[in-house]
Amino acid sequence: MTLMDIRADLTYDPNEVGSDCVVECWISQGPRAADPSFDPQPGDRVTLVDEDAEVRRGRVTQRDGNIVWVQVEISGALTLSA
Amino acid sequence: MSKHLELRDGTIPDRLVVVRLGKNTLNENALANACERSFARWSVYAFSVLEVPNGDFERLARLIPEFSQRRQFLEADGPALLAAGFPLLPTLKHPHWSVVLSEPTQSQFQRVASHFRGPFDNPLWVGRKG
Repeated sequence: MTLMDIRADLTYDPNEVGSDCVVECWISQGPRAADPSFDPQPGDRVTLVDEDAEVRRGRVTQRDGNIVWVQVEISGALTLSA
Repeated sequence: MSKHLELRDGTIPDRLVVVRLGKNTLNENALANACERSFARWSVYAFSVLEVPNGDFERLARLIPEFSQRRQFLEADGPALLAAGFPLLPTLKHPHWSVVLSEPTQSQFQRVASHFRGPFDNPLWVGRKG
């Protein structure tokens, strides 16, 4: 199974997720690259998958043609000591 | 259209350990896609890594919440990457760095990947907590 076979809207690189939890995704690199009905807009909820095949959810914050910026959901509260 | 490449100011730490989140994120597909995005943005073939500030993983997790979401990561020494001909650029916000490749080829991907150790289990992975 390849990433393109996994039911998700976009692929993402976890190493590019910033401190604001926003990551840049390219539609052309994702599972729905050939789907002309896929038209994510700011505010839309999407699913993302990475090379480890872990599927995450997020919300579109910005779109510029092929490029979509998504704020990924972070699970679990950070309870790290100061 | 590519943008102007802006680098952070400041000194390079004496000991620079970088991690690549995930266990498969150095495979050919991941690096090819990362290089494509980087070239479109900055006209440089590169992929992202994160500095472990002073070896402090908790600090990395506070700076980058995504770190605690990852079960495993790969690790490399910055000086070793530099010595092997892979420049490290302090791009975006700390602790983000870009590892530069001369070209996005399979041989370059394999060569740079050979400098990473792991995968290691992430001690701060949220799934580890009850």
